[in-house]
Amino acid sequence: MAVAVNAASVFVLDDEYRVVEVSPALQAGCGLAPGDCALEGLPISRSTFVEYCEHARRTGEAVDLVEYGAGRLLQVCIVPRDEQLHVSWETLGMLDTLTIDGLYASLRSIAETLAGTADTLRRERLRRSLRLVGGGG
Amino acid sequence: MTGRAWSFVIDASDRIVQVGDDDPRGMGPFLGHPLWEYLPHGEAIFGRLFEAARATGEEVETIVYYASGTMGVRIVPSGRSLVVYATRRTELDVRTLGTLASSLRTIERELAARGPAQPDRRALGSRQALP
Repeated sequence: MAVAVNAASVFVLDDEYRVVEVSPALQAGCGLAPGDCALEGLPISRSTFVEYCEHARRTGEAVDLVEYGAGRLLQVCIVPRDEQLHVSWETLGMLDTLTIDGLYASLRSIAETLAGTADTLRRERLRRSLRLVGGGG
Repeated sequence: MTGRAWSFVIDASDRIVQVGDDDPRGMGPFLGHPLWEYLPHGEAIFGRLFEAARATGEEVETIVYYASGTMGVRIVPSGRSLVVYATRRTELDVRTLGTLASSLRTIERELAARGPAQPDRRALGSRQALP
């Protein structure tokens, strides 16, 4: 599955995961159009995506996840607004599968990015938790 | 494409001079062009095999990784030209980390079993990130 992802990859979902709006870049890249079920065209794990979406809906808070899928490391941001979810994603790294050297180098790079991003997300969660515990705004 | 075979002939300067009747890889438009236009970054992988076949005048047969998978390659010297037969053997499955790890293990086993060449140890550090 070839999905062109970039910083302008944004779509809006209704409560049944149907696409309400989609950015031209994403529509051109993966063919998602308004009315389509977004779960059919995702490059990342469907169950993980649904889990994070449900969490965002339940809590009313934006969630970030970093997930590997279809040769890419993606950072996905899910923001609940009213009954809808605004989803954006950007590519943090890509596999280079042309040569074995390129493959190993890109794997190392993705692993490092994944580790660094996981730390950042952990720190952000910790910071939010501390703010809640401390009663900060 | 796994299992499909194709063949072509290159001259002494690695230009494609003939493409097999079955052309599943779309080499036709590259007739007369350097092979490396069709196989970007392929010189580092295939070049030494071609040199060995030319130097010895004997067939060279091995398995290499190129473009998302392994391929079996047989190179037959014919005068100043080389006849190359290639078959796609395994494909890297990049869908998930699980399929990536599994297919990479298969590929590494294949490359390790091909003969005296040792598997690339650089994989070990990278694969720690995989399940």
